[in-house]
Amino acid sequence: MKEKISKWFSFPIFKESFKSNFLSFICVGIGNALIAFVVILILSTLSLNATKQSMQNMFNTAKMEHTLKQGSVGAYIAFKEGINAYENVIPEAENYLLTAYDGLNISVDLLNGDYNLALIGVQLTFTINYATASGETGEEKYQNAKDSTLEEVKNITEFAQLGYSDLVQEFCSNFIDIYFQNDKEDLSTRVEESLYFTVENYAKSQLNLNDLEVAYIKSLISSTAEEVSKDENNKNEIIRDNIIDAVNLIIPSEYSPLLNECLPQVLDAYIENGDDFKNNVVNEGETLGQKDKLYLSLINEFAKNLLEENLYYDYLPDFEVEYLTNELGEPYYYKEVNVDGNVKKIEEVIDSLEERQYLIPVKENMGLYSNMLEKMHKEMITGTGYSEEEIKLAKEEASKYVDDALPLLNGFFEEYIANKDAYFDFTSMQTKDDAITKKVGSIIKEYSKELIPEFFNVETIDDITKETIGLDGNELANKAYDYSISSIAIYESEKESELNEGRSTTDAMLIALNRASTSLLDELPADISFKLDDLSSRNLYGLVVGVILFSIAGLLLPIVYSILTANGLVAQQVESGSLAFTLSSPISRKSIILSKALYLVFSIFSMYLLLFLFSLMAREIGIAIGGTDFYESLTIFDLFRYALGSFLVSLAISGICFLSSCIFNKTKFAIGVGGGISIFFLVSSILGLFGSEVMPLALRIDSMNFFNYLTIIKLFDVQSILVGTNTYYYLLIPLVVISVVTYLTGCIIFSKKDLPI
Amino acid sequence: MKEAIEIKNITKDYKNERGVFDINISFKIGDFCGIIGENGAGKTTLLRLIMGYIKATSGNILVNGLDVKKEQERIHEIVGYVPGEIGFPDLKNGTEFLNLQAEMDDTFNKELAKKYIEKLNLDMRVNPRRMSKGMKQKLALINVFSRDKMIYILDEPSTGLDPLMRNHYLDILKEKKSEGKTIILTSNNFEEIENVCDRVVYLNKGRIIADFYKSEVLDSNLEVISVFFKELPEISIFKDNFEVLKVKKEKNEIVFLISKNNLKKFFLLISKLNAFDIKEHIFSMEEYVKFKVQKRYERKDI
Repeated sequence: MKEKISKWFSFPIFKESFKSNFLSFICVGIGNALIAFVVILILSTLSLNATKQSMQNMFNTAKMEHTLKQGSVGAYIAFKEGINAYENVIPEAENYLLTAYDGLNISVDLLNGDYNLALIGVQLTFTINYATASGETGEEKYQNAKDSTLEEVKNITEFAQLGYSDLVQEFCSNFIDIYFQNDKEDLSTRVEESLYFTVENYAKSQLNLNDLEVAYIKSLISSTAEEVSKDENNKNEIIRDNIIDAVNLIIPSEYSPLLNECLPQVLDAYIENGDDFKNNVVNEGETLGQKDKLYLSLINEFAKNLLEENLYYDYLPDFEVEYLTNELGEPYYYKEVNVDGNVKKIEEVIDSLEERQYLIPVKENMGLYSNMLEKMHKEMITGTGYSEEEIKLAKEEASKYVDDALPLLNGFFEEYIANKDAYFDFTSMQTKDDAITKKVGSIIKEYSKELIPEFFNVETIDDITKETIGLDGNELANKAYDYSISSIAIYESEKESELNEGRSTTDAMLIALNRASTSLLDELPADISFKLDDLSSRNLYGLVVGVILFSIAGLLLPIVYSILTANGLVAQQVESGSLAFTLSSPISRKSIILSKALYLVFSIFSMYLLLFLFSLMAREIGIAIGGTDFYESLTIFDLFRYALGSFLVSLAISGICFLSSCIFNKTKFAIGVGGGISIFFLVSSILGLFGSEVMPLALRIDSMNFFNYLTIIKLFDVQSILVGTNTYYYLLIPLVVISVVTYLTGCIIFSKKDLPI
Repeated sequence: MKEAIEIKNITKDYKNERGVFDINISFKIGDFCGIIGENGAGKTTLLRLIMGYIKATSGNILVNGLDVKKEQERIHEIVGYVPGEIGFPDLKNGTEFLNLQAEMDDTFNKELAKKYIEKLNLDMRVNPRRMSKGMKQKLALINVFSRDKMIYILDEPSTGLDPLMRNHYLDILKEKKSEGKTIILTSNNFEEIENVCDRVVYLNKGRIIADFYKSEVLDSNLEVISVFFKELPEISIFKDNFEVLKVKKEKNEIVFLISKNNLKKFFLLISKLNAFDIKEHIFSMEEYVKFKVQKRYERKDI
């Protein structure tokens, strides 16, 4: 057994190496350990986390402000538009819809000949009236006769039953004109002609339809009449379905997408309950009338859609905006046009991905991050849109807030409808908008008591004390009220000014919403706020201990030690000839060089063991004297990993120095090459640090990252420890490989080469 | 008798005519051999080849029957070595150095070391790196002679020793010789070699020019005789019968190497010439070597 060991290892040689390098070993080992000790002790007195936490709180406050403002404006819009829908939009649309329904009903009857008798009545009445009419000219007599006939038509039973409307009156007037100016045709042709004439007139003047759409309406009427004539029993259903099909043409464009979904319900309620519905009759045991009940469910639906369609954009991931965008977040380019002989540049929004090449890049160093409106146009801006997965996730995230908001909205609407006459106190001169704003403010204030604790990671709002951000929880809730009121005011004024600029209502709303929900941080250039946010989220202890201490400052001494010791163990002994004494002993070269290699490994290992122990000691002392941040930000396991990484880097570098020392017989070459490479690695890693991910964005110079590819020191991946990934472990493998290969190669070379001793 | 060292056809070519070329030589057990030659003649190279520190371009060396290429470790058990250029590891003092050396080599005798330290009067408290050249040399010699080896190889061992110490050193050499050790040393000083060695090997430009035992020279019946003439005669008249070592024209002196058998004939010849004085010299080894070298080149010329 002893024989075997002596073949590979010689203790006297190890001892000689130890004795002749003892001083530098002790100096470097203790020096390095003391540096770490002092640095960690100093860190313990700084409570960096408190600074970081207050910065983090600033960001949390800003994020909270943004959320509350956006929520306020969102609720305000939902309230206001909901009330508007209740008071104006739906009733107007209902009016168009029911008129169309009645009109189609009458038209179908007319076309199918059900009212010929009544029309004969009109004809007779007019003939009598004309005979007795006063007037000097024939024209005057005709007009007077027509007026009195139309007056009397109201009393014709069949028309009265339908509800005498403007449309019916107009039809009769047209009928009289057509009938008496055209006596050659039969009655049904004249009815048809005056019906279509009336419809066309109405469609063009009231609904603003074009010729093609009018033609469609006419064909709808004739096809419905035909369907009904074939299937008299299902007349109501046929008419209903055909009206629903044409609803887009009948209702003015603005809210049609939302109304499309609720109008069939209105129509069905009308068909079922007739005038009871129209007159909002209150059923027994209920507080709201039939119509109000339906309307309430419609505006709730309406508000829910509004929130769901818009809120989720805020939860989509941010991206870097590399091209200029306009107010609406659309990417654009400048187009040259000839205006009155002058070439002018005008802004043009791109409308296909192919046009992206013309976009104007944002200045390189601005680093803008997307706002809500830019997220809506991500595909145009970046070339790739959000994936379905991302959208799904954002919608899930948003739905949490939608779910929170809906009961509040529903309650508000119900309260409003039930008390609509008394709800807004006009006597105190406040407008409806003011009243809604106050209502939103108080709702948001209540809601903020649930929301705010989430931003500061505490259980309840009472857990937030003045220490955190200078305000306690209830003061924060009051602030939420202020945010709410001010953001709504900004929204209103921005919306108005955008409308005055000639924007559409939707665009103006979007721009105003975006502006009204900006927080303190949005006011800063995006670049700066992003960097501050980044800084506040970093482990500064990890940065100082892991990066500065263990991968730069703490490496310097061991590297210098490696360069000098590796050289002293081999090349220098060859050059000075002192190796001759060792070499002439009955110990094999293999055993000599392996013992020396082992010494170098052992000494570096001991140094790091010492360093680790001193660091641990400093940590414990630091905690004892109040550096409680260490519990979380500088765990024992972190320290262990820093020391291990740093040790393996030193080992690999010592391997390179050792190899160089084994290759060269002259000190100047051994140090020149081995030391040169080692120092180059160290310098590169210092330069590379400025471009590396561990550096806070505010201090980072991205192009310096190039240096990180030139140094093996970066295989000790501190960033991975800081963010908790596994790359740290994988990257240790190449370090071990470098160490093993360099040491073994050095030993083999030394065993085989000529030694000039 | 078994050869201590056997060198066969060894060539180590460093290019530019440096190195050693086609060396064939063997050293018997008990040989006390001095290798002499000018700087760069290849002395150190030859010793390094024997120690196995460098590898021969061709040829092989056996030490006590062991192949240098394969059994260095065992060879080092029986060979002690003092390098030509002496450097020491960075240790506290000489004692520490010797103690470590003793640990590395079982043949190291500490009692002997103590004796030699006293004899050579070496201050062992000094860091070996900071020792003077002479002190370093002493330490290196103590280190090697304290070991019980069969063969001692010493590369210019007397460098830096003052005359008194040199005597002590020679005493040690003689002691070792008397113990029957094989000693090989190099020097560029003929006198030193002449005084202590039994055998002389002269190396020139990497080749062995002369290799002889001192006894050969002492026992030889050759005489060196200077003859001073009033007028220098033609050298050619001596050529066929007598060796002319030197001609000193300014003194009209010719130095001859004459075999004792030829003395009568020689005196007869010079008596006929204008000789006015005759001086007999001791035939130094240096002269012998030079003579041999000269002869060798003459032979080459032919």
